[in-house]
Amino acid sequence: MSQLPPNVSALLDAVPIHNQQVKSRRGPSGELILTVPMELRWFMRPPVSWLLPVRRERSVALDKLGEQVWSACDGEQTVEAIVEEFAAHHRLSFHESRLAVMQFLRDLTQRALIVTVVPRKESGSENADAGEEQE
Amino acid sequence: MSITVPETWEIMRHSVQEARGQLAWCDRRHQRLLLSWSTCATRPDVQRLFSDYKARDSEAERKSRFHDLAQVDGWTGYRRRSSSAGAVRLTRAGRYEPVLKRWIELTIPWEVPHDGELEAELLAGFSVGNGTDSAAASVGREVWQAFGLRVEAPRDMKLVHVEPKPADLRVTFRRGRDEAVVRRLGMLRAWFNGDLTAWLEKEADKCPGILDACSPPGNALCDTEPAATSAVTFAGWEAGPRWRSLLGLRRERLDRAWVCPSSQTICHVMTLSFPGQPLRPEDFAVSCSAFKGH
Repeated sequence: MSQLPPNVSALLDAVPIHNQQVKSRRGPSGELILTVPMELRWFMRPPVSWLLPVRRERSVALDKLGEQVWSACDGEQTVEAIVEEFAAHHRLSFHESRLAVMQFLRDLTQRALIVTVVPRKESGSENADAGEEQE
Repeated sequence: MSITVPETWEIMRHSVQEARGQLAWCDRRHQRLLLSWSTCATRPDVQRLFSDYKARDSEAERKSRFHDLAQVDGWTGYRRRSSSAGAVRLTRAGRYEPVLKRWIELTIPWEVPHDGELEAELLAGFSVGNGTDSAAASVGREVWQAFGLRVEAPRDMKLVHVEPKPADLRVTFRRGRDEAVVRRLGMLRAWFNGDLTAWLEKEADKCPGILDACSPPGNALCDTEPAATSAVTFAGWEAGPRWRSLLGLRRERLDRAWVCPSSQTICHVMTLSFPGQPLRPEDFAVSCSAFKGH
């Protein structure tokens, strides 16, 4: 498998949370579609936006696997717990599951669909609220 | 070479080169072991080698303390303790294998507290040759085992490539222009509709040949009863332009795929060879007994 990232231990302790701005709906074939508002760049603001159509939100359709991970990001489970659950459900090894889940969470983070709360190392998981947020 | 490591460790970096390479294992959070080998025609100057290592380690952490390992099973080495807490930070051991003409090195970083018992088990768990696989050796096969897959391949086939992806492991062997690819595909619940024939047909896309359902492979070493599942075979030719066929350059393609009921994976063996000395999927014994150590 790929090389273990140096901060993997911290990432396993992290807790992914849905972006509160995300709206979800079902697509025509039953897939889950997530819609998140986009931050408009300077050149997309008025007066340019008065003249040209500007996309104000972005949608992402999730397959069944993606939906499973998305629904596990409930703000309570750590990444490690999500990985374990995914591994048990699909009969994968922890490491196989870790690669797949972490890559997916990275994609969700880049698309601003989730934020990941990383607990501060010295204070442990008790002060997760005080942790830094990664986006 | 074979080494026994805890079941929960996974290979995170690998090399298939015989002359020089590395294998690194990690547990969930940390790198735990690095096994490296390099060709060495004669026994190296071990004392000097380790004194160089100690000097390098001292540069990394000033005032480190070193304790030589007791020579066990041919291993020579040392433990490095941190200057402040005195905790063991690293164990480094090496030994020369005259049969293989290789210098073997084990590096065990202790990001977790030092475990002397585990350290001893790792050193003792290394062996050369296939002593425990005499059955495979008796039929001219060599055992390759990693990433939850065990393959007994003909001794003259060389492992040339390993591509581990989540739920899709691909191991390639080569002998001259003959080639064999062994795959283990998991997560069936997510993508497999149960039609193995359709799956193999898609795999053998554009390859002329005949698909056939057959009895389960007798050499499938799947943990539970392989008879519970059926296999599908494909016999044909590799895809390619017609002129290759006319010049006798197109290789014969033989496939065999089956579903392992115990691990819920698809095992697939594909061979490409010239008709004179055909390589068959039956020449490989495959076990998808996943996650039972390495």
